[in-house]
Amino acid sequence: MDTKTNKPLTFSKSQFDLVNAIIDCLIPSNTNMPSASEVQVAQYIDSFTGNSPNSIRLMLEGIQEIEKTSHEVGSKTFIDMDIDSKYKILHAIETQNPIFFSELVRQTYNGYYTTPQVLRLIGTEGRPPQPLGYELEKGNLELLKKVQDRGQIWRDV
Amino acid sequence: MDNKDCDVLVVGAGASGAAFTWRLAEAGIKVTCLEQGGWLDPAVDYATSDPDWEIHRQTDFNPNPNYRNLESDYPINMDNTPISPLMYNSVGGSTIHWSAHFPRMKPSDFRVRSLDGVADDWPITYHDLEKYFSINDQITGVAGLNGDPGYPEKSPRQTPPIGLGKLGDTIASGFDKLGWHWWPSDSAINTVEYDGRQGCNNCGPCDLGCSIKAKASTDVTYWPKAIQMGARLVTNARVREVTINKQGLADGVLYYDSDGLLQEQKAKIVVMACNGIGTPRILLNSKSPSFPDGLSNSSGLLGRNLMFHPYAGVTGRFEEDLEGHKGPSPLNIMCSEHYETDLSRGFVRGYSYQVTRSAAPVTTAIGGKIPWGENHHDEFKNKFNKTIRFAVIGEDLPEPHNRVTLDPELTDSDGIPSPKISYTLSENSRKMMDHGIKTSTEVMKAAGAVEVYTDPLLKEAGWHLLGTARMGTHSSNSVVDESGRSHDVRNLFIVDGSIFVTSGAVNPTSTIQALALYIADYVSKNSRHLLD
Repeated sequence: MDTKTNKPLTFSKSQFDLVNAIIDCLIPSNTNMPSASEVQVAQYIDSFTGNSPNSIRLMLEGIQEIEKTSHEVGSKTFIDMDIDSKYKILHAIETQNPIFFSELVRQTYNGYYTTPQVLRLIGTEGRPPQPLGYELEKGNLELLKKVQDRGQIWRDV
Repeated sequence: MDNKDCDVLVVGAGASGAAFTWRLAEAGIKVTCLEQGGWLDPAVDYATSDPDWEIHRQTDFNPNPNYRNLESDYPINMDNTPISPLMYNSVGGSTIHWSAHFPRMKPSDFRVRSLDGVADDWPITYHDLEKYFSINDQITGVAGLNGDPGYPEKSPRQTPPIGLGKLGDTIASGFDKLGWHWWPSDSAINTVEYDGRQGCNNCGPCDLGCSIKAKASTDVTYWPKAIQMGARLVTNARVREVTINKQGLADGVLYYDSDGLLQEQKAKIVVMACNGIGTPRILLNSKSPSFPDGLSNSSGLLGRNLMFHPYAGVTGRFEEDLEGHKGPSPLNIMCSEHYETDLSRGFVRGYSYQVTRSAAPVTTAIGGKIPWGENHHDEFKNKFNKTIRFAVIGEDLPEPHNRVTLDPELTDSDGIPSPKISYTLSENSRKMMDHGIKTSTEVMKAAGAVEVYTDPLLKEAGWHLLGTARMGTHSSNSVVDESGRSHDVRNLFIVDGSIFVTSGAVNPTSTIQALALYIADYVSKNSRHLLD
């Protein structure tokens, strides 16, 4: 999504719906964690992909291939498939089109694991490392006495 | 462009170029440095305050120049190497994205032939460099702990060691149970304020640049001092070749300026500081009737004996949250238990491990190969902040067939031939890596790891670029002499990792910089007579 104009850069409305269905198979929800679509990962992919014509092409052709396979295999749209069928189709695409699929997974993970809500749920403070940093304990250096007691271990020449 | 004549011209503003230039400027010598990249502003150019900070590892802070593809990068043909060379091209060079692990090479590393019957001896010793290690530590600021029985005693460390945190304590317990050596290794990171730079706030991703200047990169350590003392640094100046005069002496360089125009910089002494790939590349491209195979290559060894330091990755998964996102990601505990040769292990020379903290969220998901689908969240939860990683760093022996040449077709954006890397892992290295994987698995399990994953050879791990213009006693067996001076061109020096004779089994930057300072003193002392 272009943040200035709010216009999508890559996906049409129907393509957004399809991408949401796909990425919710990649990262579904469970009792603790939201699904990828629930944290707007499709919008992230739309934005990131939209910066490069090659990426746009790869992504659009890839999701079209998913949709085409759904029609061929189950005579339905991907969105209307049951969950097991969706997984089967995605596993098939993963093998048939590894370049597209690995890029799709990478962008899905990138979008999901940079979302503050998700970062808080996985146990971090949900913020970038700077400017606050973190407190860190010095640790137990007493154990080093045993290392020192062994004596020199470097070869003197 | 006003190309003032200079006494000494340095090519490259990274680890070695910065140290060398500072030392000469301190001695009052007129020195100019040309650097193909630009300055980075720590306050604005590093992504660690951005919500998408981790993604920069895949884009503009990817350590592989072929993927990063910034204007200052040049493409490298990596088709014939299982290890990808990594580097950063800017003021500061690879110290911008390094992990700042700063161990010295050890005394035996300089006497490999005499001690172990392989490779060669350096023409200098650890003790020749000791004073320069200390000077370098003083300028850099080293966090560490004196008393390591894995090293001769050193001058006092400038700041206390990096905190272990819960993760460090966990892995230390593993070493302790086995009775093996471990030590908080020297790190070029201020843990408290030092030399006008604040102490580290333990944010984690040192590889993305340090916005608070706690990590020592030479743009914040050596360069401000060097410039204050009169050194001239010209950025966005990409050197194409070193030129020679009718007497066969180096007399300057040709370079492309920031507008892409070819310029000439004359100098009385030329010093190469472009790392183990950049330096042979430029010298091989500096052909003339007197030097048809490249400048300073009568030995045929320019570009040869490339040493990388093969890395194996060993990751232990633990059941508890180790708070692995807190603290510099390179924890820099080092184990020297298997450093010195023990032939009963089945290979010669040895290795160290460097401990690093848990991967950040995106890196856990992608690098940790968390599967997509129903099990994604459980698998992620099992790994995130619950892993400790060792980088097993093996000594790479010099082999002439491992080399840098000029690619016949690939060039950079200025038309300068790209380097081509040809490298194979030796059988000795493979046995060494396998042994390192086995022993580090023992440490992980002793520390309580419930699962251990191994990567026998890390591909994106060619951090250390060494050996391609080696030092030696004679022009038949080396490119430069014991003072870093070219055997063939008496006013040409090389001061970067290219001149390493052997690689040791530790990160080389401390030793590279000590060498650069050592050579700087030679140049400074002898500058009046170098052209005699």
